[in-house]
Amino acid sequence: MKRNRFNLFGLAIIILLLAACGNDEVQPVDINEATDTCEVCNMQVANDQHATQIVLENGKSMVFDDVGCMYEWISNNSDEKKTAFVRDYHDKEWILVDEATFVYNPSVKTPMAYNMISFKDTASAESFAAENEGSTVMTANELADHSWERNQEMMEKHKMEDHSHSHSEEMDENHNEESENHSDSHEANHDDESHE
Amino acid sequence: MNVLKVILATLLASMVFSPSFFEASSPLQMKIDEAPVGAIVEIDAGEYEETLVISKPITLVGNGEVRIKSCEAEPVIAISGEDVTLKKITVEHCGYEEEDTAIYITGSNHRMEELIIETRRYGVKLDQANGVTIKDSEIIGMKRGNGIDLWQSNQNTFEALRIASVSDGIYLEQSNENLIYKNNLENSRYGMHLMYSNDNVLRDNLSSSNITGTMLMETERTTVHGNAFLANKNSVNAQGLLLYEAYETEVIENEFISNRIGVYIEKAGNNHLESNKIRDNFIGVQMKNASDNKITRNTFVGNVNEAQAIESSKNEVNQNYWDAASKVDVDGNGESEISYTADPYFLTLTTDVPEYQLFFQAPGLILLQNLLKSPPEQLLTDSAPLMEMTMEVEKETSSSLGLWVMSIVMIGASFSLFIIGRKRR
Repeated sequence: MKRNRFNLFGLAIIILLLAACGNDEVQPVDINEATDTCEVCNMQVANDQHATQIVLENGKSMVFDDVGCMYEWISNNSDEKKTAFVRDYHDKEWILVDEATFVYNPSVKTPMAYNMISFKDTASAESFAAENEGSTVMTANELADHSWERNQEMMEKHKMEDHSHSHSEEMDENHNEESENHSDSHEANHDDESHE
Repeated sequence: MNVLKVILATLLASMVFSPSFFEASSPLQMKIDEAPVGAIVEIDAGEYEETLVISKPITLVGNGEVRIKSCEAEPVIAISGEDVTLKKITVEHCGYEEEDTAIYITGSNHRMEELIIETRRYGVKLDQANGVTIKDSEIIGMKRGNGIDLWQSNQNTFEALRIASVSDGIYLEQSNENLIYKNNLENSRYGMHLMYSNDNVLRDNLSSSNITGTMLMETERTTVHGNAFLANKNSVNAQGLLLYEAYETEVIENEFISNRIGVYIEKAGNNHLESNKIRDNFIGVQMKNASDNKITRNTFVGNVNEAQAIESSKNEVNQNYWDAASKVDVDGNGESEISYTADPYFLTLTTDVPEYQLFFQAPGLILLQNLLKSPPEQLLTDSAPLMEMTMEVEKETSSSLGLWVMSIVMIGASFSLFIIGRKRR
C-alpha cells in the first residue's frame, strides 16, 4: 500500500514536470545576417540593436530591420496572434515589446530612419534621453499612437536650405549649425556604443 | 657608480625628450600645416603611420608608393573646407570599431584620384559634402561598413571606382543629384543603395555577385541607364535591382543577367522600364503591391519565370519580347495578336509555404494553375508581345561543339556495350 502511494506520488511529479515542459514561452530566434530580410522593406537585417521580431502563433518568426517596419506590419495585420520582440539598445538582449521603453529622437540613425530605439529598463532610456537633446521617452502603449514619421520631414527642410544656399549667407550659417548638431549627436551615440 | 648614473641620466633624458621625437616622426601633418593655400605637397614613397587633418585648399600627391595607415578611432584622413585634392595615395584604416573610417569628407569641391583605400569598416564617408569627385580609385573592405557612405551630400561624382567586399558599395541617404558612373561593384551586400535620395543618376556601372545589385528605397526620379547587373544570386534574397517605394525611376538599356530576380518592384509606382535585357534569371521581373509602372520593349530570354505579379494592378505592360510566349502576327506589324500572361499562382503558393517550390513546373501544379485561375487583376499581361527581340542577345554557341563530341562518345560507348554483350554469348 505504502509503495503504491509512493508510485502515485512519483507519477504526479512526472506529470507536473511534463506539463511544465509543454508550457514553454515563445522565444525569439537569432538573426542570421546572411539570409534574414525585413518582412516589410526587404532590407537585410543586421544583427544589431535595431533588429526586431514577431513570432506568430504557428511558430513562424519574422524579422524586421527597424521597429518602425514592425509596426507597419502590425498595423496591416492587426488580427494576427503574435508575440513581438525588440532589443536593448546597449546589450542587444531580446525583450518583449510591452516590457520595453522606447526613445524617439530624430537625430538617431536607424536602418529605415524611423529614429526609434528601445531599452530594457526605463532608467537607461531616460539617461539616454537626458544625454541626447530632442529625445522623447515612450512606452509600448504610447508607441501604438506614434505617427512613425520618418526623417523625410527633416529632409524636406534640408532641401529648402540647400536651395537657398546660394542666395543668403544667413541660411548658410543655420546650415552649418545644424551640421554641428548632427555630428554632436552622432558622437554621443558612438560613445554609448563603446561603453558596451 | 658614476658611469651608471650617467647611463641612467641619458636614458631618462631620452625618455623625456621622446615626445618631441614622436612629433618629428609625424612629418606629413607638419608639411600640411606649413604648406600655403593652393600648394602641391608631394609625399615621398614609404609607409606613414599617422592621421591627417586637412582643412585648407591644398593638393597631396604621392610620389611613388605612399601608404598612410592608422588604427586609431579618428579617420586616417579628415577633409573639410574646399578644394582639397588627394592623388596616388594608399590609405589604410586597420581599426575594428563600428564607425572606423579611412577618409572622412565634409565641405565642397574636393577631388580624390587614383587612391587605394583599405578598410575594416567604412571606406569614405561624405557628411554634408557637395561637389566632391572621387575617381579611378579602389576601395576594399571586410564586408562591414560601406565603401562610400553619403549623408546629406549632393552633386557629387563617383567615377571608375572598383569597390569590393563591403556592406554597401555606394550608400546614399538624403543625398540628391549625385552621379555614379562606370563603377565596378562586387562581392558586397548591396552594390548601390539609395535611401530617401532623389534625382540621382546611375550610369554604365557593373554590379555583380552582390546580394542585391542596386537597391532604391524611398527615392524619386532616379535614372538607371546602361548598367549591368550580373550574377546577383548568392543569397536566397538576391536580386539585380530592387525598387521599394521608389517613384518615377527611369530604368533604361540595362542588362539583368543570371540574377535570382532581375528586377523586383514593391510598393512602387510610376517607374519606367524600357529596352532592358533580362536574361537567365530565376525570375525576370517580379512585382508586389506595385501599380502604375510601365514595362515596355524589354527582351526576356531564358528566365525560369519571366514575370510574376502579386497584388499589382494598373501596370502598363506591352511590346516586350518574351521567348516563352506563343506568338502569332497576322497583320505583320511586328506585334503578336495573342497577349502573354504571367500567372502569379506559383508565387502566391510558395509565399506561405516555401517548400512548395519543390513542385515547380510539376504537371499537377500546372494543372492546378489552369484550374484555379488567379483573379485577373493580379495577372501581369503583355497586351502586344513583340515578335522579335529589341536587341541582340548573344547565343551561347561555344559549348555546342563540345556537346556534339560528348553525344557521339556516349552513343559509341552504349553501342560498344551491346557489341561486347553479344560476343559473350
